[in-house]
Amino acid sequence: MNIRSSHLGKENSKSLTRGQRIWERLRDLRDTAEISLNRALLVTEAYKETEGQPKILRRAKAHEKIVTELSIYIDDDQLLVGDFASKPMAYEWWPELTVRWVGEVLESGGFPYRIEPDKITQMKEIVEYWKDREAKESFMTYIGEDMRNTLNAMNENGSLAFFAEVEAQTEKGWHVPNYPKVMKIGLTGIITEIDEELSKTELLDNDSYAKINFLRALKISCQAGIRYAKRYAALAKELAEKSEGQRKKELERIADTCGWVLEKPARNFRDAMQTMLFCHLLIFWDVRLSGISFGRVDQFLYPYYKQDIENGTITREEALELLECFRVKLSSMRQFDSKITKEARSGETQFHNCTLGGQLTDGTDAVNEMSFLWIEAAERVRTPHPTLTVRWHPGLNPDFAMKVAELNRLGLGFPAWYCDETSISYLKNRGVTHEDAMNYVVSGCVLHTIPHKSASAWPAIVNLPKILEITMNNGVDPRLGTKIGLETGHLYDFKTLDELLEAFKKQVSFFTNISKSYLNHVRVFRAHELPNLFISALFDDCIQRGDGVFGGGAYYQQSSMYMLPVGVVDVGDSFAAMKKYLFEECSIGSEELLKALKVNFEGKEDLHKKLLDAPKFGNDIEYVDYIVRDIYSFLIELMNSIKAPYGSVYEVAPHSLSFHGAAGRRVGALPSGRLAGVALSDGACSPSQGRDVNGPTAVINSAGRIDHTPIYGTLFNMKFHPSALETKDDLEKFLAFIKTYFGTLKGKHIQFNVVDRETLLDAQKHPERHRNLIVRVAGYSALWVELDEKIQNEILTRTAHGA
Amino acid sequence: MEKNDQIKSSTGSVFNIQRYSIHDGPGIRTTVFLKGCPMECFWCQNPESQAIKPEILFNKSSCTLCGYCANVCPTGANSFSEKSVIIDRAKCAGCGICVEVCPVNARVISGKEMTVEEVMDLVLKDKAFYDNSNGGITLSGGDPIMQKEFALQLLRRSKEIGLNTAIETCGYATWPILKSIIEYTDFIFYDIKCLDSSKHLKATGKDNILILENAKKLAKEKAILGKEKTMKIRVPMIPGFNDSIEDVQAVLRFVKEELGPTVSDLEILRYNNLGEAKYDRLDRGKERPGMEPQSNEYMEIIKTIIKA
Repeated sequence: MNIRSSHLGKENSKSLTRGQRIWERLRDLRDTAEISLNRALLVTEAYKETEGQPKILRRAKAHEKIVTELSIYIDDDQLLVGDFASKPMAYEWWPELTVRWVGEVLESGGFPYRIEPDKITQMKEIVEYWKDREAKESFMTYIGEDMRNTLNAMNENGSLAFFAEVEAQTEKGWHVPNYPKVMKIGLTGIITEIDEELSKTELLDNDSYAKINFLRALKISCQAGIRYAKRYAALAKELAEKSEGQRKKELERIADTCGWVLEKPARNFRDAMQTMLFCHLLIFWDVRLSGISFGRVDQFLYPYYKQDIENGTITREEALELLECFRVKLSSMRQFDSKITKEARSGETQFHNCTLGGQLTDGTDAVNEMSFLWIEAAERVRTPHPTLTVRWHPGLNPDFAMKVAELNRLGLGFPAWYCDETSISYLKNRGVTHEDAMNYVVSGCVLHTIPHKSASAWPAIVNLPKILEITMNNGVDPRLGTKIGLETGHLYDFKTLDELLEAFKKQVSFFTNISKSYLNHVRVFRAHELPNLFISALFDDCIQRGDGVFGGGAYYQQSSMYMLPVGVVDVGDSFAAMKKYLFEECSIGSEELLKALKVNFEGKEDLHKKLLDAPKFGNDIEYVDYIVRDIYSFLIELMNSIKAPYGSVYEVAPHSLSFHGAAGRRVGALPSGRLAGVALSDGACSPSQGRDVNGPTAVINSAGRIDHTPIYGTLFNMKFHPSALETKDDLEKFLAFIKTYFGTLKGKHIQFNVVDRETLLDAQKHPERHRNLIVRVAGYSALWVELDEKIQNEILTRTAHGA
Repeated sequence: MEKNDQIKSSTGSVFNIQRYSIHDGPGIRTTVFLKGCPMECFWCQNPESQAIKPEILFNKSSCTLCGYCANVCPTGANSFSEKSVIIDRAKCAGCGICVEVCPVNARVISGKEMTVEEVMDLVLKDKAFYDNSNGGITLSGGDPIMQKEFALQLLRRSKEIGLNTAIETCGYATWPILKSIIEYTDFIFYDIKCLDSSKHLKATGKDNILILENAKKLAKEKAILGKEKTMKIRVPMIPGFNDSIEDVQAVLRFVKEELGPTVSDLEILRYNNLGEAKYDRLDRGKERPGMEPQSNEYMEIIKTIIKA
């Protein structure tokens, strides 16, 4: 099936389902939506009102003010209520994170959003208030000039050996809160837990002072949450009185639901869905959120569904309609981002992941009717969010697997596939209990985590090919000519590949230590100065420990800090080429190579061709595959020896996001033959773009040579041409292909873009014709038309496997 | 060991090996394309597969006239001027040195001398995929029976290892050769192009008597050999040659009446012109078939005929 058939035709709008109807309408608002200052004004007002009070209480009162005062609406046709902005598809703004860029862009007049003139004045006032108080700026002041200078030489402002601008200003949260708990005991139950803990805690020292303030803040936040839900009950009631017929009934039901949840436990499937959405929104209005995922939605929603079906209070179709409504809600959240973040997260992704399938604690297959319903809802309402991940194990229900493959074929880029065996091993090796490990979920794009127990994840994003360049030039970045690395020798000083590798490892270690130190500072600083509040009420054991998920509150700290290496495969390919020509054949001299790299192979086409002909990862060639494998082993060993905040160590999670585009822009020509400025290889084990020529099985065999178990989130993108997935027979083979990667070769993650090149090229030329075209970028899918052109080009050059 | 030594010594001319072949038999497969074909169909989509000897495909449009190919050619087959590079096909020995040095990859060699072991090493790289999908190896061409000894050894070796085996053939061979090959073949794709023998002769260079006889014998043999073997008839639809409704119906009748119930499967392949550029690259531009694929509507009509 071709991606074109996934475009919803307007002409048959009468036959659209409810979710399709709403999405059609909202999608058309995407380009014209405006910025809403509702939240920004409220948070600013709240902070002005609470000057001088403890930080955490100010945070709570701001949350309270926002959710109880922001203007709300109920969208036509929708069955679920609560929104990510005070107007449909609008952008909200978190000035407490970073405002300076907003001020600058307002000055230059080059804002990418539609803004009314009167708003500009308001925005300037907001910028004025926050410009020295915002998280990024106050952090930069906090770390002092020396560290700032060091960072600026190495980060986005300098060589870009690692990224350090993004982390200080983005909200964090690749983790999974306990929404099922709110379904079970309501926020009232959680407030009771807070009260119990408060009654046990006596104010005696700094720790108890901090704990008491934290608990009081949590309580304010939870109480505000209850009031937030009840506002919707009142509004629905009011609207119901003015409505008639079917919609009147729907609004009355909404009023009933919102009057009950979040205060009390969910009575049925409808309550459960509304609880999940409300909780998600309460976190959003507090700290915004990136990567907050829902966990095993088929597992914890199934009992409500089953009960309702059995007592005849809901039909399968009605349940499906609610899931559709949920998909639309999640796709209407916008990102009012800085340019850097927008680029890195090309396509307004939110990383809201839902996990399906997998095993129960006893190892039996966990698939149920709810698993199928989530797939069907995604098939019907083709929104990019939330994304879905399927946990694969040998006993996965084959009908379900086929259903998932059919959804893959639509070309939405999801569901992604995740392997139980290697993921569970990883978690157990890090001290997670059997029961928790069996219950793992995928959060953000590809991180396996324990729901409501694992702390949020923070990546030190390291540009390995840049470090390779620095290694070949004795510590100097050849692009800028600045010496920022160690003096480990010039390329011509190395007599063997091992000597070169040793130097490279020293440089990686050097830069990583600076990067991780920066990241540790960010995390601990943010934990104290801008804590995640409401979400901490939904995490074990934040209440008992009296600390948030940014701090030491979460039950598991394993894997919360990690290195995100970008361009490992480019480095591996480069080492392979140098091994062959510099050290084995001695057919290229090191000076000759450096000169050719410097001029981006201009006038050195023969040398370029020779380098391109060297073995490349992704072609099932042991020579280069083992080099890549060994780089990973080195990175894991290095990172696991580095201490991380709150009692854990660093891990390695090569999931690239779309940093491979930005990182590549600053990296010159490489010995692999990759040209200067071109995007680096994406994810953990995708071949360098277009360099895999032996078909998909060869790529899989190469990827399988890497030891995936100790790697945290080995993102692996593959692009399939629709011709390879046409018939049921093709899909059976596709499933056998996945089985081989996971079952035989012990991979961990794989996801697919199913789209033909012609469609992509046409979409680049005529974005207006392809507004619904979804492609897989890194750990997420995005609408093609919203992707940065560089990323579009990069996707075009990834090899498509046809048949 | 003796047997293995014997196999090692055998080589064949291979022009492509395609992994993750999923439309050439059951499961995930590797298709090995052997060079050489007994026929010369005017529409051939792989003209580089017709001759057994290696040939250079040269894409003039990406040539930058650097002259490297002319410099390295041991037989002086590449003559280089400021305007173009010309290959003297009679002089070209097909050694492929020019392919190695071309900086813009304008040259591809079709036909590589490979031993049975070399081919099997490559094929076995994907053994895990075959095991998980009941797949295996498919021999295609050209026509694999043109290199019957090599084909036989590949198939025999594959069966020893436990792979599912398939061949794609036009059936133009003596019966003993074909019989020896299908002994080691689980899945036979058998081309029938046209029932009118004189038309067949004109279009392919060979009449169809032997082909139809062999088809009948194969069907009978298959009935004897049992269920494990599958035979599938393929009909490439060539515009103006065999794609009329009458032609298709004639093939259908033949399959039904002469081959009987054991050959149930028939596949109609729509014409495609993806191979057109290859004629230019072989300096055989004048032979370009220059035809367009059948329309969707027409293919629907054909499909309904087959279903009925």
